[in-house]
Order: sequence, then C-alpha cells, then structure tokens
Amino acid sequence: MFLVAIFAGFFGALVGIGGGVIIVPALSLLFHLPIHMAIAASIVSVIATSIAGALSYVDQQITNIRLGMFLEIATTTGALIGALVGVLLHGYVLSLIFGSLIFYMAVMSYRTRHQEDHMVSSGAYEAPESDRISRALMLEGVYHDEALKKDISYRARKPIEGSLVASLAGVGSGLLGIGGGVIKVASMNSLMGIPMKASVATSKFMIGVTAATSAVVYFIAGGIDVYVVAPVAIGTMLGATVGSAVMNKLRSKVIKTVFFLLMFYLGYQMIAKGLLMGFNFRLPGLM
Amino acid sequence: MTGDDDKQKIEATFINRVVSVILATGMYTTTALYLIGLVLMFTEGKEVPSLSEQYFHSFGSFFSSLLSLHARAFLYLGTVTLILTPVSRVFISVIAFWKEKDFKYVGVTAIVFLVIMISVVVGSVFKLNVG
Repeated sequence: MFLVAIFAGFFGALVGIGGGVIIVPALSLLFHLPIHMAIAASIVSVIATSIAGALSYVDQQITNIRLGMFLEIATTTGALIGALVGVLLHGYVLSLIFGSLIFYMAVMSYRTRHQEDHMVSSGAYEAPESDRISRALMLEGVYHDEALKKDISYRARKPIEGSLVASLAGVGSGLLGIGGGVIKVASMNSLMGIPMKASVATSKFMIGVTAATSAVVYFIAGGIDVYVVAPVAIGTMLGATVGSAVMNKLRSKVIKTVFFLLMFYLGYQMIAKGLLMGFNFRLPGLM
Repeated sequence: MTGDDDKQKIEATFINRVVSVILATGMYTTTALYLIGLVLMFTEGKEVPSLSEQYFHSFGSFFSSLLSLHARAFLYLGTVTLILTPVSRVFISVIAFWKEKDFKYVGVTAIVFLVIMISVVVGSVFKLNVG
C-alpha cells in the first residue's frame, strides 16, 4: 500500500493531479476496500500530496496564488456539492462515473499532446487581449521555465468560464476522491490561456483546499479510516516531493504520453468493476 | 505604472512567504504525527480497530489515549492537522490580504473560508454508513 502510494504521489506531481486518480482504483481494485472508504482515504491523501507539491511550486514561484484563490471559490463549492452527492450514491455508480471520467481524460490528454511546446514557442500565452474581471483581479503572472531556459509571462482570459469548469473539478474531488487537478489544469491551460507549468503549479496549490472541503464532509460523516489514510498519505507525500522537483525539467509531451497510457488502463478497470458490481456483467481483462 | 508594478511584486512575495510557512508547518507536523502513529501501530500489533471505534467521542478519551501513546490517537491527530492545514492556509490568507489592504482578495478568500465552514455543517447532517 505504501509503495503504490509513493508511485501515485510521484506521478501525481508530474501531471498536476493529487494522485487520487491512481489511489482510488488501487485501493478499490488491489486492496478491495469499499469505494466510499477508498474515496475518503484518497481525498485525505490528496491533501498530503498537494501540500508537498504546492510548497515546492510556491517556493519556485511558478504558482499564481491570486488566480488560485479566485478559482478556489468555484472548486470548494463544487467539492461541497460533490461530497454531499458522493455520500448519498451507491458504490457501483461511483465506480462507473470514476472509470468513464478517467477514460475521457486519457483521450483528451492524447489529443492535445503536441499543443503545448507549440503554444509556448509561438508566444501565444502572452495574448494581449484581457477582460475586465481578469484585469480587476490581476490574474496574470510570469515564471521561469527551466527546460526552455526563459521567463514565460501570461495573462488569464475567460475567468467565468474557467470558474465553471473548475467547479466541476471540485465536484470530482468530493464525489470521487480525486484532486480534480486534471480538470483544473485543463480549465486553466486550454480555456483561460495559462501555460501548462503555471497551470500545474496553481492547480496543485488549489487542490489542498478543494480536497480539505470534501475531506471535512467525509471525516465528520464518519467515513475516514485513519489506519489506511496514514500510510497512503505518507507515501503520496514522499512521491510528490520528488515528482515536483523533477517536473519543471521534463518535456510536456513526455508527461502527457505517459499520463494517457495509465489513465486509459485504469479507466477501463474501474468501468469493468462497476459493471461487475452493479449488473454482474464481466468485461474481459478485469484485474 | 512602475510604482504599481513594484507594489504588486512585493505583495506577491509576502503572500508567497506566508503560504509557504503554513504549508511547511502543516506538512512537518502531520508527517511527524503519522510516523509516530505508524511506528506505534506496528509495535501494538493488534487488530486494526473498526471505523466507528477509531473516532473519539470526547476530548478526555482523546487525551488519555494520546498520553498512553496509542497509535489511534496519533493517526487521528495527524489526520486532523492534515485536513486543517489548507483550511488554516485560507484563514490566514484572509488576514494577510487584509494587512496588505487588498480588500478584493480579502473578499475572495473569505468566501472560500465560508464554503469550508458550510461543509462542516453538511458533514454533521449526513452520516455515512460504511465498515
């Protein structure tokens, strides 16, 4: 359990997710925990990963704190709603939703895998047009990219649309025990025009607060097994610390390809498990 | 404009530092509590208590469990500090933005804090039935 957690934390930091996308299937498929408990344990360990990763990115000044705080309004509201629905839903429904979501994420990540390097090199992120809300809330920033060896500056656009999508990430956090980082990164990167690495760092920053909101619900509702949470949390934290240190040195394309393959596999497994639990229907290759 | 830009930069570093200190404190406290808890868990070697037995129902029983070095108390406290770390990050950011007289962001962070408080209420209304 500890080793799986280290892997999840390391990989989570690389792609800006809390590792929950890996933790929930692992606890559910490998350790056969009831999915509600897997989700609750994951959400707490997601906080741990996020703190370790967030700390590193805040110190490296890649994180956009204002942008993060602004989007947290949406993500925490979503997290609250998600946790409420999650507590009320059946386990197999949660497995099916979980599987479909990461399947979808895998496809999206595959389709945009060549985009990033092109966007950065063509200077598309510095797009001058900016709207009233982004200006009023100073949603802009600059960070130093170590792989490209230069400073990248950017301005946010479409803050309302970005918030709406980010609130879905919150729902994901509460409902499925994931950090929802992938959705936050997608919302910032492709919708709001924030460079990939600043999106990942800011996402990591928001995940802690988003996850804490749902964790509070699960904790008080009585669904958190501290004997599972502790080893998982320590493991993901260790992995995340190493992952964050390595991320800024890697090519975005490499990160995206590995991510796609893993999500594809886990998505399939969770859907298979949901179908077996809910409808007694067995897909080939179920773990 | 140059003056504004300078001011913005200094604020960013101040908030940066505050956030960094809170996250680091929370991370090290939690890690320490969890490590102690895990070591105690292996030395106790008993069966893991069921979910409902893990929760404490009074401060008294919590403190006596903590003083007699039960794994359960340390794992529980570690989980509480872990969850409280981002929550206090939000709360202290409200104060930090206030000190910087950035009232737009005092508002933004205060709303986030309010949502977290509502989740406390939601958690106590809907009890979960597992394990």
